[in-house]
Amino acid sequence: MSSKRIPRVGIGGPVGSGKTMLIEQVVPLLYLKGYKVGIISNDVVSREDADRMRRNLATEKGLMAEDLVIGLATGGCPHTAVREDPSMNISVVEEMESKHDYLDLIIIESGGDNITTTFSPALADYFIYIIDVSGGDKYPRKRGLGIETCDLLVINKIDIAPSVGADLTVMDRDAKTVRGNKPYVFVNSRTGQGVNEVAENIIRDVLFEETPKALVKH
Amino acid sequence: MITINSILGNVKDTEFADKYEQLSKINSCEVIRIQRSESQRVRMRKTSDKGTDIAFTLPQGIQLRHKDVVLSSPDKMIIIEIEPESVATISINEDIGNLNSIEIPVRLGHTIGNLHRPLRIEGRKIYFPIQADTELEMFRRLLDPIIDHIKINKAHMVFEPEEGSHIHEH
Repeated sequence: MSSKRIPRVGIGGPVGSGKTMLIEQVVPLLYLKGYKVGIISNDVVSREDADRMRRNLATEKGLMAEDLVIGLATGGCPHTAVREDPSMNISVVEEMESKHDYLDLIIIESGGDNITTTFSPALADYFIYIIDVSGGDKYPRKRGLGIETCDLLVINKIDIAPSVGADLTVMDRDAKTVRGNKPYVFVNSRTGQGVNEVAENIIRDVLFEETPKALVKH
Repeated sequence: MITINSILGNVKDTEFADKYEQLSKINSCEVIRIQRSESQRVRMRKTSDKGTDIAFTLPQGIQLRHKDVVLSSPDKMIIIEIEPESVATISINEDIGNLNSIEIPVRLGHTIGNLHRPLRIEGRKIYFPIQADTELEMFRRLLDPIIDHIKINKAHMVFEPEEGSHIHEH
């Protein structure tokens, strides 16, 4: 059972914070290093994000097979589908593990606000929480489950900080206080700025810098 | 990098208790500190207090406990420690006067349960985690009908919930 278990990263964040775009930036960086990735995208009623990632990463870029991007319409609060009762996600993860055992990583995306979002340890091994600067520079110091407990905090859309009156030095100072020794990174998912650091954290802390399965010589 | 696939036991176990005491005296125990929220993780990478790089790949469904032993060699041990956190303690007075004996447990259970806290009960004392000191005042207000029969205090300690009370917190 554990030998075929594929490492899993959960990415959560409020609607519009840039979860999907972050995945669209990180996955090509992982593929460049030889790591094969599958994606599960949770949403309430639509599968728009999954369709967009499939079109971008599979159909247009040709990085992955189209059936490696799966959209889950959870029907209710998406955070409950990754936290209290992750059984629907776990069954899709396990199906992916048995159908595509060559994968190095499975990314699970779910919307969810800072107060409620975390991933069940039965579902994800590592939790990335993403916020953006438009909520104001007070966001990190207000704390909350997502910001405090995630393994990596990503602060997105730093390019628009001046337009929304967000001071990045304040966010940096507060994030340092709230996060202690745990990492956080400023990114601009539109241009890819800072995204390499996200990929490096995943490779180090989730993939343990192991050789990608496809590159292991038998 | 050392890979850990299983938990060997706990320093409370007779198998490890003496060895742990001896090795602690000569500073030969390494400690990996984790948050309580990480105690059900099966895959994670951590650095011990002495700088050892450790990768965990544990069986699904595991529950890491404070002072679990993950490595034991003749001259060294590596153990897990759960980080202490802020906790509210509620002690129920021995003498509850004329109060209906069911009122205190029901009100406590209803109030703490409504706030979705995991719980530990030891004798007449109840423990549950809090994020800010201001929560103590909130609990004093909510428990006002029984406040003369209980004492609410704050502690900073390792909190390990009762089995089955790993409910979500928000």
